[in-house]
Amino acid sequence: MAKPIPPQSTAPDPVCRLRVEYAKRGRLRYLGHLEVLRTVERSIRRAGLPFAVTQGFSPHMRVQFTSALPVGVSSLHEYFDVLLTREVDASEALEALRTSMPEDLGPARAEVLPVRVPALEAWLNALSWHVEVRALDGSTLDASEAERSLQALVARGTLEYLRGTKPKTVDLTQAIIGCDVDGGEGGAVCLDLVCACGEHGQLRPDALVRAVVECMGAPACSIDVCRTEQGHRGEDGQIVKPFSR
Amino acid sequence: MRAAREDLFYLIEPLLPQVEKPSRYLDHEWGSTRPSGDFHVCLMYPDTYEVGLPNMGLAILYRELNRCEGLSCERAYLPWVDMATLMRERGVPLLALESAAPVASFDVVGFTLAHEMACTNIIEALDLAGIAVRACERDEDDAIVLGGGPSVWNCEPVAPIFDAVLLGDGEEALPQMCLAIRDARRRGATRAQILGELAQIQGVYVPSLYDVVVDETSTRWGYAVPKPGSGAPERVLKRVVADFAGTDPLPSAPVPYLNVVHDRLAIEVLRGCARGCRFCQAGITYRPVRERPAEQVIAACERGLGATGYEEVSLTSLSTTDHSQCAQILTTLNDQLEDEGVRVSIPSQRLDSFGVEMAQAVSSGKKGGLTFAPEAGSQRLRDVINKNVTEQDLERAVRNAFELGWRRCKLYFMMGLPTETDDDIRAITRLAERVMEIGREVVPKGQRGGLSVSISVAVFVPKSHTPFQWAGQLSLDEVRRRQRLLLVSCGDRAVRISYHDAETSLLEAVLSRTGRATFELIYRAWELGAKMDAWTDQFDFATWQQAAADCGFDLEAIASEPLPLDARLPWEHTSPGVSRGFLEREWRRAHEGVTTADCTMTSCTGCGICQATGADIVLAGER
Repeated sequence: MAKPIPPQSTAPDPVCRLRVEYAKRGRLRYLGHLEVLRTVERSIRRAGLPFAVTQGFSPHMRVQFTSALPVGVSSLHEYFDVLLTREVDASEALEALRTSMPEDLGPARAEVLPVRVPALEAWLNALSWHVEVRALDGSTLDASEAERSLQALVARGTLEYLRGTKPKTVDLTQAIIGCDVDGGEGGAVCLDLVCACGEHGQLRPDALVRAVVECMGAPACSIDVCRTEQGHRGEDGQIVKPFSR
Repeated sequence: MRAAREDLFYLIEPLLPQVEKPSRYLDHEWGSTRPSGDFHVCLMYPDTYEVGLPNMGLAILYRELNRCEGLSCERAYLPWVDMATLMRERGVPLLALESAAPVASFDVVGFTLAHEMACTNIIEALDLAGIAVRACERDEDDAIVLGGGPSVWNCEPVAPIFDAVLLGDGEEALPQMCLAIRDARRRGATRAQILGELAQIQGVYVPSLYDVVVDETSTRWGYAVPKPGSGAPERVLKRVVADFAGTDPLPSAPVPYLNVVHDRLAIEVLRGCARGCRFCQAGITYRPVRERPAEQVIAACERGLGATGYEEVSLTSLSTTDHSQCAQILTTLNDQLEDEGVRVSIPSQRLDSFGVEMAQAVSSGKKGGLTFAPEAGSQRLRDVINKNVTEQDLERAVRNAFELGWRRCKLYFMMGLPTETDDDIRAITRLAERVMEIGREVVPKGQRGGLSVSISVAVFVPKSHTPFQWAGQLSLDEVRRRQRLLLVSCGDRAVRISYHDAETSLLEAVLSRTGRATFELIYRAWELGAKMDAWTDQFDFATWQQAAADCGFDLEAIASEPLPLDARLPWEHTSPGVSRGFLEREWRRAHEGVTTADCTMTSCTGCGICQATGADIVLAGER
């Protein structure tokens, strides 16, 4: 069967990629993942960067992102890679993005990298989270109680939870690389988690912490989640950051 | 009492994790302005953020008002049902986006009258804001509530809500109105004095200055006459921006985070349409036709794409392919945007080969569906409605489209047009079958699986200020009978048939052709829970039937009643400038099956709008 042939694009091939670190904070933490992607793409267009486009019927920008942040979750370190059709000066590109991105998604660093490097989302397999749990009735939560509950959950091995109506299962022994539990201000409990993501699935920290709260028998709580770092964990267990500098 | 102007975002923020699409309520989009100045205007679209944000009219007015020294304009939309429920539970008032200040703290609150079905949402918005719904119940220092937009042409059913309504183009008139209100407030003028001053501005209708009189010269809905001594004009004539190309072609809508209904840059390439379809209200109310020159459109696209970062630009108007430089604009834009992954789109296809060529020009190889609107199935009825399209035009356009690679074709029709018979209904399916035949003829055998022809049939709604304003609507039973006839008359099972909801159309007719007394029906429906009536999953006809019973309205009788040709109509005091003689002549010619040409392509057809408004047709080239 004859199929329509896509138009031959005259668009040039990419010569490098620009890696950018940005944040997701303030009220913009309520953006959904797709909303962030669209906003970043439009910011790149506004910045006038020489982005590369895909071939085919509906050409689109060649840009890669890190894994989805849930609605309501903030982040100190998000990353995107955009493929460029000519070399740019990283600091000039960063300056252009500073004036084209919304303040609460503000870019902090930029670096020019070769076209061929591993895709960000798959490569960043060690994610750090800071979670603050606060009882809605104002009562003080016990940090050591929270730690015991967490260890009990890990000892059980797997965490089963509902994401919307979909049942999910995560192997906690694989998913949790590190964890610190501390008392926070005003009776809050803070958990600093380092989670691995890979074939065994990605652990949503809010799901874990909700299970911890349930296990503690604590009253209704607000759970504030922030992604604090993303890195690549090699075979040797060392964590490498996405920026060389 | 006017609410205090203060940032109340902290009241909304805790609700965000509990609602759908929290980005509806965030503000901080690219291009959202920081309020300044000491006179605050809030423009409100009476539906959700994703429906309201792309509205072209509001984007133009947002720009114009914020450019005005001393004026500051913000936006508000109606929260979705989940958020509205939470806000009522917690006593949180409706807030404007930019300042997060209560809408009730603003000096002016302006509503877009987007369509008839938004009427309950306007009441809902005022109620959520804590502003009295009826203009007569507002206090001295309460916000002045204005209305304007596409659906003002019989605003009597919602007139009791508004302190003033603007008819026609708003880019010059609305800043003028807001400055007049500001100056009057500074002088310490009373509310009544302010309204009296507004009534002196051309295009401004102040409902409270008019009495509704019912007598033997009128329909049962009466007609409006200025109150003695009010100084209000007997007939309010719409505003027209005569030098349309002299206005900035770039609207300033913030770039949304949320995936809104038209998520792209929109450039209005021309205003008005003179094709003269006799059912079409916009075709009268936006006249005269005024085009922007090609260079201006192209420069605006470049500037707008750079400023917003959109990946699509739409060239909007009532009939973009009628622009005298349409081909030139599309070719130039395609060349310029080729390597940037930017799509160009036009909103609708003209029903001839040129229309298909233009669709081809923007398709960049990818062929989705192609939509045509023959509106009526038979040539006889197309002549009645003045849809100047022949069977040959249609066949050629469709053949052309299939040859160029399109496989899906959608045809829009109306049911219940004046003089329609069962033969006209059967002609709809015959036409669709003919299109399918052409498709099978043109499309190679291996590709016919993708071939699809669908027809969508809406119910005719008689609209004010059109040649069909005197016509009644089909009764619900008759609509259902003709829908069945349509189904059984279709011999080709590959043709898909869909209908618009007849009950919504019935209500549209009631809201389009009645008078001020209908406000009580709308208010009652809202009290009974009607809102978001344009959302099919929210619309509940039973609620409206209950409201009609409570108010003594017979909805079907009202919608289907023909109006006497010699009666004074309830909307004649709010005028788009069309002469009554023209409408009567067109009504007669319709019944004789005589068509009337497009005045931008031949000579003046005598609608009277240029003469009444002092504006002229402005074309950028030869049509």
